[in-house]
Amino acid sequence: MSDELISKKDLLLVTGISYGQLYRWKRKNLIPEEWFIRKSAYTGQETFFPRAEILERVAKIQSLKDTVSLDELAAMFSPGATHHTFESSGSAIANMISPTALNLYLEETGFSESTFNFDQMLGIYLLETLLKSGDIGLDEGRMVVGCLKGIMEGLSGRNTMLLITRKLGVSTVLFLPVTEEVLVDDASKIVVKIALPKIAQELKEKVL
Amino acid sequence: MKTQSKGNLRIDGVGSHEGGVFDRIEFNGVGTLKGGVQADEISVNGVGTFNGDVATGHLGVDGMCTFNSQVQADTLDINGTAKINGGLGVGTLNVNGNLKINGGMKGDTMTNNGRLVVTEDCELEAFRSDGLINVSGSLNAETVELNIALKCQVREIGGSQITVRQIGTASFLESFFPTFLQADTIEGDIIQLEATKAKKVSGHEIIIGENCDIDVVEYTGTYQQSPSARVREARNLA
Repeated sequence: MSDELISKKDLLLVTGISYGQLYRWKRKNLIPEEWFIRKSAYTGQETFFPRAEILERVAKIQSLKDTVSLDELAAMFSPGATHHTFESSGSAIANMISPTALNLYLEETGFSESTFNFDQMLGIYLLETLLKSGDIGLDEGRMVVGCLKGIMEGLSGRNTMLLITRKLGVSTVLFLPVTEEVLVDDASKIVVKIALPKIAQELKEKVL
Repeated sequence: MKTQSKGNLRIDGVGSHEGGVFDRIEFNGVGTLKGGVQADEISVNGVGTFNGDVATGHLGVDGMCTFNSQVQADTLDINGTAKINGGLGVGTLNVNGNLKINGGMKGDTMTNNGRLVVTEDCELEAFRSDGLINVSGSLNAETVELNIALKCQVREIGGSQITVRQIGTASFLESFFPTFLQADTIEGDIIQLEATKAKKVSGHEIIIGENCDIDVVEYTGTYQQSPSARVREARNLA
């Protein structure tokens, strides 16, 4: 049996959740349908889950379920955008986003309205995360925003990853489907490889 | 709240329509809708065919109706015969006649007093059946209450509370048409079964009642078994 999968029975034993909870969470879309992997076993068909993902998800649901409703949790875990809007001078922005990242975003996009939708906020949050990590500089940040402009609509629903490579000090910014395998030559260095759904979920957890 | 009337569509006799948005749609003869419709209320008293998507507040079928696409309804009452060739999303579903869904369904509560056939998965909060059911996928509901007569079939049942009871008196018919529920797996917190044949039953509190035939029972809490039940193996996982 592969270590990457966990059977339903073991999942229940390890996490202490009940069948009722598991099925309820599935109905509420807290656990994606794709994670239910059917395999034949000696008792007939058994259901397995990707171990790391399901354990992380269950832990997250358990820690939040008393304070957040299941429907809100479902919105957090679903890939698409939420209906949240963000005031550019509001506290959410002030708490999460540095003035540097915000100004860079505004300069590059020429955005002049006072509220951001979730997709735009995701772009800003991505930029902030990258700048804060110190992996990229301001110029590369500009490239990311420039690139984002073209795919901004529905950004949070896309299964996209951001890849930044550097070769002899020259950077390239790429947005690719998450599923693609990426090979670069020896002289190039992958500076950033980050999946947007993951960033979107991080952002949702902060704002919900 | 209605702010503007969208008009009614009524077909008495034989007729067809392209579809659109209405307050009310009523068929009293033979009606066909070629495209999608949206209406507060749809009532089919004769024979109806809907070839596009249907979205409605209340949908009632007292005659015979075929839906060849998705159906979304707050309440759906089937007193006649209906076939849905697509998915069903529903708030409350009442089946007193015959409903076949070639696809899956998602909903809140349903009661079945007639015959329900679903070829894919069912997800509901409360599922109660006093009639015949046949679900080829999995049935996932907070509470599942099946009062069975004749042969019922559900491939997988999962939920919090699952109760299966045998109803009807024993008659000579019983020897030709035995009453039982056939399932592959049944998983829940509290499970109470009668007249059930299953490969595996897993849960916290399990009661295996009369006329059951189960290959494997796995429990973490309490377990009871009727003398007339046959269980090959019962494992305590706690």
